[in-house]
Amino acid sequence: MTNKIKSFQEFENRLKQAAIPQSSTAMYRIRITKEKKPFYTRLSVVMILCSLFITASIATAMELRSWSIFNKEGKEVLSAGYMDVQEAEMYEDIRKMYMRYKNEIEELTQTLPNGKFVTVLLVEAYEKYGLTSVYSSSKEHQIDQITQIPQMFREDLHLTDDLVGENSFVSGSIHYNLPERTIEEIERAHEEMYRTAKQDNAPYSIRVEGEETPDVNGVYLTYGKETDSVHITISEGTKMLLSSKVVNYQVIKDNGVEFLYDKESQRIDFVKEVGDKKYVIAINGWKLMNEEPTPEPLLAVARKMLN
Amino acid sequence: MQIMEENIEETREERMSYLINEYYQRIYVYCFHILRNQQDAEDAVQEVFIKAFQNNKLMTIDYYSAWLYKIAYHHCLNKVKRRSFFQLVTFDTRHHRNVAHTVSDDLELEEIMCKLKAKERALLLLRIIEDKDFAEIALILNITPATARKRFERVKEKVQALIERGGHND
Repeated sequence: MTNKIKSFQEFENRLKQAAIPQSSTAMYRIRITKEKKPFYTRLSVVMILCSLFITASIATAMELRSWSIFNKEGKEVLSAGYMDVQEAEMYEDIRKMYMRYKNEIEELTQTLPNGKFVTVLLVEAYEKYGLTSVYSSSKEHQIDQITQIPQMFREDLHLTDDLVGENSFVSGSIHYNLPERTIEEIERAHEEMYRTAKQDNAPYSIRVEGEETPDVNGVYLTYGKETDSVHITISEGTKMLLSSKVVNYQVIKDNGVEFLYDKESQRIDFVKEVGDKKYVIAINGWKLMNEEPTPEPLLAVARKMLN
Repeated sequence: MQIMEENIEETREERMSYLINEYYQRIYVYCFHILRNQQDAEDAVQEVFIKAFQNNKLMTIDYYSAWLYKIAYHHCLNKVKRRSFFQLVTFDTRHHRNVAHTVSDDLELEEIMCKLKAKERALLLLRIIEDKDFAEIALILNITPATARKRFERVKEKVQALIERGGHND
């Protein structure tokens, strides 16, 4: 159906008639009645880790042109932009290939012992895109107490239970860095995985290996519940969180520090420097969803983290 | 004491089974329209019912429909938020492409839906597909009926503007 919609009435009618993919209720019913413990979104685990990996790998290659953040001394501390269309399509293509096997991969990731990580090579993706398409991930470490965050990281950012005022800390997750390897080591390992998969006529090859390092790569924290919730994402290093909404940002200066504020999603992004370390921080809060959004509540949290 | 606990557990499961029979597909459709992605919606609807199952209110709540929609609404918005934090491939491009391939053959409709925010889609769904009155929508969204009506009118105006522009493909 490609006819133009001419009125809201027609929009309503077509929305009512729109075909929705069916879901398999019976399968889920069995899972729900058997499941007694909370489980974490398997999809999110894969996608988050995949994104972190991809972010790290493209950070140096992409053209940075959209925005920058400067510190008090006027030095640029972060800049970011869009991927070009071709690059975005490549990652989307890779993502779609992985989605076909997401259940198996997620099951495996979920059963990983803490500290271990898994490398996944999809034959089809590897043949098309090579090294870029291979990713390593580990199970995110769930936390329910702020003190579970490594002390130095916690102190650098002044993370406390009451950071967000009356919305106390609820839960979070920590990602640790994977061990560094040379490009030659990586290439050799991937070639071996690829050969094994081809020999076995398997669509993918998975290798559980190594130990994560104790260095925190990123932290995701939730304060408060539901409409009052505030989410804080912190990544260390030069990694960037990219969004299609970059153009909507407005720059706010507060006490010499630059913040990027997105009114639509009630989010601010900024950088905290501690010695030679850089923390890229995003705070997102829908607390004011019933009121006119303002950056002030987010800035109040940011100031506590900066001081 | 052990026997009592088992009985309570059994009743919870029976009630959950009733809710799944009654609401599963509707909550799935609701999640689907907010998230615009079948796989995400399937994950979300599972998680919504697990949250409901684990919630203390399961055995005492009177108004299941609004309660489940409320859980689904917040759950899906949180998923969208989290996705916007972490996903590298832009949301608009990604879900637009998915929509074209897997959702519906009504590309005009899909293009308009893509232009709306998740919260706006959620509101449209409650009103148009679920045919809920503003009092119930208000209950789900935790706002007043007047605000619900006002918001719906705003979304309606936005949709109308998109239609008039004919530019859902800008």
